[in-house]
Amino acid sequence: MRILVVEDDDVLREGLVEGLAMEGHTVDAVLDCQDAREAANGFAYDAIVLDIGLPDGSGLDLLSDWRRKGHKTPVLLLTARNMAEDRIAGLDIGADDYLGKPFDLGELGARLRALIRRGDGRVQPITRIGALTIDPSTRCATFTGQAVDLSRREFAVLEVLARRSGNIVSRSQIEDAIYGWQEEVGSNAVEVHIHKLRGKLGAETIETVRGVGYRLRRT
Amino acid sequence: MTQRTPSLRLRLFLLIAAATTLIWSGAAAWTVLSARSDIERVLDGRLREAATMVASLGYEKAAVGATMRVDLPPSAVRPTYERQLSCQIWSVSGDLLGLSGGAPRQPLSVRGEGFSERVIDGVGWRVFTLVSPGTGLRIMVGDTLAMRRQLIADLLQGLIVPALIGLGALGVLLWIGVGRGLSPVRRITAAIASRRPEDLRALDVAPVPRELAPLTAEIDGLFVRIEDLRSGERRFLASAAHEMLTPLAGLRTHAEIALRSDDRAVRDRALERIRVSVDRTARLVRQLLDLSRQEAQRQSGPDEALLGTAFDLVAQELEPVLAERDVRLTITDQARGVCLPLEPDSLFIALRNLVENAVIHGPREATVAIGACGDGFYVQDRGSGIAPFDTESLLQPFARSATHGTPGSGLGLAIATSALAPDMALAFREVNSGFRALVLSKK
Repeated sequence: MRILVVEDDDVLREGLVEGLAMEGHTVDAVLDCQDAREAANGFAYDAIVLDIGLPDGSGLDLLSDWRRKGHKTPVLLLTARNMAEDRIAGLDIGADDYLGKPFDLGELGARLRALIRRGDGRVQPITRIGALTIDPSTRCATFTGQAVDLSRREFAVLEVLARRSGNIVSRSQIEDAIYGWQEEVGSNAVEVHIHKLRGKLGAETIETVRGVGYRLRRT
Repeated sequence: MTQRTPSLRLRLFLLIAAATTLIWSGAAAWTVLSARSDIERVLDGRLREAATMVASLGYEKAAVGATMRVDLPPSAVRPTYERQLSCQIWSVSGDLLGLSGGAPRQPLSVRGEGFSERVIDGVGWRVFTLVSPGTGLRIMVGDTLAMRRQLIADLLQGLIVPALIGLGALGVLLWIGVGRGLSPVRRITAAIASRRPEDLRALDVAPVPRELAPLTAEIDGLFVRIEDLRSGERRFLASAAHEMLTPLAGLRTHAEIALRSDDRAVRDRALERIRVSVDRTARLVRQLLDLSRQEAQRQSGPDEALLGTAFDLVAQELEPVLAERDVRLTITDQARGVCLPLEPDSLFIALRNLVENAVIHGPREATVAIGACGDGFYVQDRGSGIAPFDTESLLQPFARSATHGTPGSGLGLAIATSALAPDMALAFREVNSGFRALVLSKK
């Protein structure tokens, strides 16, 4: 999943990027409202982790602005202001969840997964498509009951295809979901990951729709 | 230690009672003197009238040598004073022709016509002597001075006793009246005393007398100022908590990363960030303590501190960060001799925060220079400085520059400002070779 982190403290921001990447997410990070606006307008993030106290304004104002303009990306507020009224104000403005500092990285990851799941309209934490099961919390996949050993990228590609199961996902959509700004993307990187996935799950699991993209089949 | 003072009620009562007693005493003295004079005049008139009446009785027909008894008319005064009026009738040759009952046989007066006083057998007399123009008889009518004094005393007693009773009654009424008049003060006192410490709403004690309205207005104004102060403190505490929790969150996150990761490079990077975060948190705690100390020292009197001494202490304390960022700290000889009207500790804190800001926010491998400027000093670095629209807000605690991405607690400049004397100010100026923070006198 691609996550945008908006946090002005550089140590915490780097920790969030590293920690969420370990959770299997692709993370972009900015430190102020202006960069956050540009990032949210330029990419379709699966979730946003937003600090309230930012150098050039309040994260609450930024969130309010997003919601007024129709941005539906799930937002998790991350702040040291832990009073009930702060939480209520944040949730009323349009936040989907609220986490006080300091926090547990595992809890942050779980909350983000729950937000994304709810955003996709799913209830079950484990995705089942035919003989394939995907568990985002443990980052494990099974096929016909057998555990499949997947790399971080392979799991991310499979997750993107599974979220749009039955639909065609373009190469650029896959690239956007699994690569951050800072990462170099090889011209055939997606094809390589798809090839490896087919090798582990069977060639017929992922269908290539020529000139358009890829589709996960129910097998 | 508070000095015990009489109650307002007692003060008012004593003031009014003293004024009333003074006026009343004056009036009483006047009445006494006036009454005494009137009584004397009336009694003298009675003597004269009695003598005239006796003279008109026609004693020329009385036998010479025979002593006759004269019955004077009943006294006009109270029965107890009857028979106190005595009369003697003396012939031209000096023989006593007649006398009233109780009158001495010695002449009541040895003087000529008119009023005179004489002591006979130890008894003082006031006498009116009349020489009858037809017969030449000397008629002396007198009364004792003791009777007169008794009469005056009785009369004055009749005046003063009711007056004293009236004064006592007035005192009681005054005491009750002043007490009732002060009831709004008691109401306001009760309203304040019954308040909870956190209740800073305006006093609800209407109606308030005109004289007390300024007092209640000032109390309400004080409540507003206290509420503002408390709001500021709450904001400060909330910001302080935020500033503390953020680096703690960074610490925890990197600690989790170090624990989770098998990659040595990732673990090393996380540990390095933990070190940075601990340093930053320690700096924040130290700054909060500095700010608290400055707030406590605001009450102390002026002092003098030498910039050179403060510089040496700052250079010593900031040695690790100077070495880490490869920054050289210099001071001119003139600046070393600058003496400022500050507590030495305050100057140290102000200088340390300004230098620390310059070192952290300025470039690495640079020089931070301290020089003299008028009766103050400057700290110059080669950083990008502060945008003009940021200068005012950055003097507030926990303010962050909208244009700077460099880390900071947002307390440095607020502490430096707080450490300066009230007649000193912090200013910022761009110069050709960098950016200066100046500490100047407002004069």
